[in-house]
Amino acid sequence: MKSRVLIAEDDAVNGRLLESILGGSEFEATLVSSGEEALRASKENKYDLLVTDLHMPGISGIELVEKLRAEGNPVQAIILTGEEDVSTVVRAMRVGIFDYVPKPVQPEEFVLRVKDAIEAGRLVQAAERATRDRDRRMERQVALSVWKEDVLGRDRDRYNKTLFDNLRMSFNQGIGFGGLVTLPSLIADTSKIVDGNYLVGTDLMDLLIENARMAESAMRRFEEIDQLIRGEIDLREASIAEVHTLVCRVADSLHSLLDIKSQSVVVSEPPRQSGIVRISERLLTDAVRELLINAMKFSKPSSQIFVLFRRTSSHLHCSFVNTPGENQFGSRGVPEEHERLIFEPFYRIVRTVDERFGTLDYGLGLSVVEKIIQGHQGRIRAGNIHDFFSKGAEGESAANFELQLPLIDT
Amino acid sequence: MVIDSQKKEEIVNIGGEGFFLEMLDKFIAQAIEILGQIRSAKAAGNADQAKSLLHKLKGSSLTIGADDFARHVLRAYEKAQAGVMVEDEDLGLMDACLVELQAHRKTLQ
Repeated sequence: MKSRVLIAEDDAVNGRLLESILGGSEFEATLVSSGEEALRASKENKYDLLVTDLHMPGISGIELVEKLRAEGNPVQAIILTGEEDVSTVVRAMRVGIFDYVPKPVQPEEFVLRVKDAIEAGRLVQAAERATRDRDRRMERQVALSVWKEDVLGRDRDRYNKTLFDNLRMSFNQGIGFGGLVTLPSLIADTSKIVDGNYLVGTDLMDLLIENARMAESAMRRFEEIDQLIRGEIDLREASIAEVHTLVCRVADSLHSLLDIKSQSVVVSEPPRQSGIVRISERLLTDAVRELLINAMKFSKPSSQIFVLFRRTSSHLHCSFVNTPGENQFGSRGVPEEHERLIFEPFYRIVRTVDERFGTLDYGLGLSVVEKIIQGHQGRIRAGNIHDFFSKGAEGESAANFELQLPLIDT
Repeated sequence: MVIDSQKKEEIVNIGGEGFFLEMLDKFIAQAIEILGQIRSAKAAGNADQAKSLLHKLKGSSLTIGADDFARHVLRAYEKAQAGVMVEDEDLGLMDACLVELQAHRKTLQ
């Protein structure tokens, strides 16, 4: 792309010469004959460099740069001067003019100075952009912290209540720890004692064993989480195609669960571009399984769950998109303020448990998934998107869990 | 030498012979106009205006390489910097150089 240079020169001869010198393939020169015209042109277009004569009727070259700076225009500037007056040059430099070129200009030297000025201007702008980006990142970070503080602070009572509610419900509801607590009392109250021993019915005993097994599963889950948090995951290199196959395999293995609500899983084709990621096949299988089951539980009956693959220059993205039914907050999908909280342990977005899916429902599933993906040096995020696949132009709100695995250089 | 040959070559190198002629025509037309303005400033006793116009003329004459003309302009400009109004003699010498330049231009295609 050509560098754009604005030339402000009231001397038609000199102006035409400068315009012609810069009229080659590297620059796009625009000639104006006064400071006022230069100000107007600068408002209408963005230039990489201003070359201005020092002496012009009306606004002088220095005044022109001062006015541009006052308007917040940081354009790099070169001033043309016939003056040997050092104080004029010093004044020009003080208002932020990058260089001065004595008249008559020497074409080759002039071009070199123009190039230098444009390069320096770009470096300054790049540095400013970097500073702005850093500031924006910090602002976003601060905003996120404030938001978290706000959500957790504002709803602290509710959050704590919900958390303890969920914990209590998790341990009491259905089978598992709740059963282990209540069943012994039941046995004590209902069973006969024969020769100093409880005579327990097989039904009751089976229930006790089942609860113990579920409690054991929960303990194993806690152990897994503990290992994920404390230990490093053993990763191996795998192609994107292998990850795609893994997802397809997990989806195929869930047919019996999909039948519960007459749902189906549609996995997109893998990205055309190849790539390598590092995975633990066992843990990634667990994570994908958890995400698919999660999608099934929260999706409407007879809906489709989409798994979409996308590859960027740095990551493999895998989105699990489902069409959720109405949640306890009266909305569909993941409530915005819960996008992070749903990964918190024991945080449950619904209070009811569908035992047909055979999951623990302690509110640990997504926490485990997050820890697994983090163990892959990846990220997971949840949010809502508008899905136009199923409902045409009107679209429909869909929940999206997107996991990102970093690609490695091979 | 009406036009400095090195300067002419520089300009030709930038845009060719045609571009040099365009520049020369532009210079002659601008010089005629500015000399008229200097005479008006002199008649009005506006030394600052005359000095500013001489400065402009100095720049463009050096740009085109009209060295003889530039020499007379420079002398008048130095006087103007010392607070002396441009003299008729200097203006006459500039006129003469300009006529010479116009004649030279006619020999060029």
